[in-house]
Order: sequence, then C-alpha cells, then structure tokens
Amino acid sequence: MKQNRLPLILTSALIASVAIVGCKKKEETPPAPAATSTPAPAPAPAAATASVASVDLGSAVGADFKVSAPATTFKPKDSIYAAVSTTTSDPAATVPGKLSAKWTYDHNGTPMTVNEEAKEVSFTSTGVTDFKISKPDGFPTGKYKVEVSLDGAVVQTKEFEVK
Amino acid sequence: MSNEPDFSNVQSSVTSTEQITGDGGGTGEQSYTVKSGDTLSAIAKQFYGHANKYNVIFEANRDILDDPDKIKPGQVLKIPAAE
Repeated sequence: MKQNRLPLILTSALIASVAIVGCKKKEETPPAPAATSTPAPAPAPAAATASVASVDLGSAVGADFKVSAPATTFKPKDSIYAAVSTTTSDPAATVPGKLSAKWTYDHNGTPMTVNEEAKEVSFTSTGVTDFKISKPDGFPTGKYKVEVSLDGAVVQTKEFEVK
Repeated sequence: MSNEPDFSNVQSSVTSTEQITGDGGGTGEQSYTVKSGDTLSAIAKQFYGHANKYNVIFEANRDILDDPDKIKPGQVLKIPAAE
C-alpha cells in the first residue's frame, strides 16, 4: 500500500512542476509589442494651385501665344487678344481650373457686355491662354475693359481703348 | 431708335498652350428649350427685354439654326448673358 503511493507522489510532483514551469513560461512571454504604431501619415502636400501671372493685350500673338506687341489702343477692325499667362505652385502638378474673360464696353458710363468666354483648363507649370475677339464691321470707338477670372474670381482687369 | 452699340456679331476664340478640357460655358449663359408657338423675338423679349435682340440668340445658335424664323419645339437654345 505504501509502495503504491510513490507513483502518486511522483505524478503529483510532476504535475506541480509542469504547472510551475507553465506559469513561469507565461511570465517570460515578452510583452506584446506596443500596437504596431501606424506610421504617422505623411503631412498632406499642400494642394497645388494655379494663378494668373499677367494679362497682356495686343492685336497679334506669336508662336509662343504671347502678344507680339502689348498695346492698350486698337483700331476698330483689329482683332484683340488678351494673353493670360498662368503658373502653378507646383511645376509638376496638373491643376484643373476655369479661366474666363469678360469684355465690356463703356457705354456712357454703363458697362455693356461685348463677349464672355470661359474654358476649363488643365494648368501645368507655366502656360499662356489667349482670348481673342474681333468684329467684322469694326468695334465702336470708346473705352473697353477685359476682366480675367480664375475659378470665378476676377484676378486681373485691363482697360483699353478703340480709336 | 436706340443708339446702343451692337455686339451681337462679335467673334471670339480661345487658344492655349495648356490643355483645354472643356467649355466653361460663358459666364452667365443660359439655355432655353423652345416651346410650341415661341419665336426668337419673343424669347429675346423674355430674356433681354427687347424683341429686336433676337439676333443675339440667333447668332449664338447658328450651329443649330439656319433661319431665325424657323425654330422648333424641343430645341435647346443658348442664351448669351444680357449686358
């Protein structure tokens, strides 16, 4: 009877040691690494913007789309160009925008619309957009104005005269 | 008789070194669908207050109109902005 208790004691000791080892192992488990820190999102690059650098008026443009000779006085039968130079804040970016030109005639102090034209443009780096108006029977003499808008906001105004 | 200058035959164009992706649709331009019994004069009077400005509408729609006296119900006309 006494002999039969030995295996029981050994078995108990074995179970106890396994339990201890098991517990110890658990303690040794390295702490779970802090939740993988999600890489901080790179600061969003400032959205590239387009802007109008200048507006030149003339009666002819060259191959580079720029007016050949800037002018503010025209003859009635001249074609009149407004060459709008644009640039983007990021030369590599393509910036969509709406460029428009509104031409008005000063009729006894009241502006009369001569023409309005607007285009959706993909601006890239630097560029030139030409708005041209002409009138087969000649523009009335007097004072005129062209307002250039970018995305609905007037950004440049130029006055000129037809003599 | 009005002494008002007539700019209805002003021609315009836009060219660019940039890619033009669409027609911005001239600021203030509206559209109008012709109804039975309409005339360009009546439409001009409605939009501009003067029937004799029908030519402004006619010139703006030369791509679909050949004769200012012949407009058809359902046609969608461009109505240039009034001054």
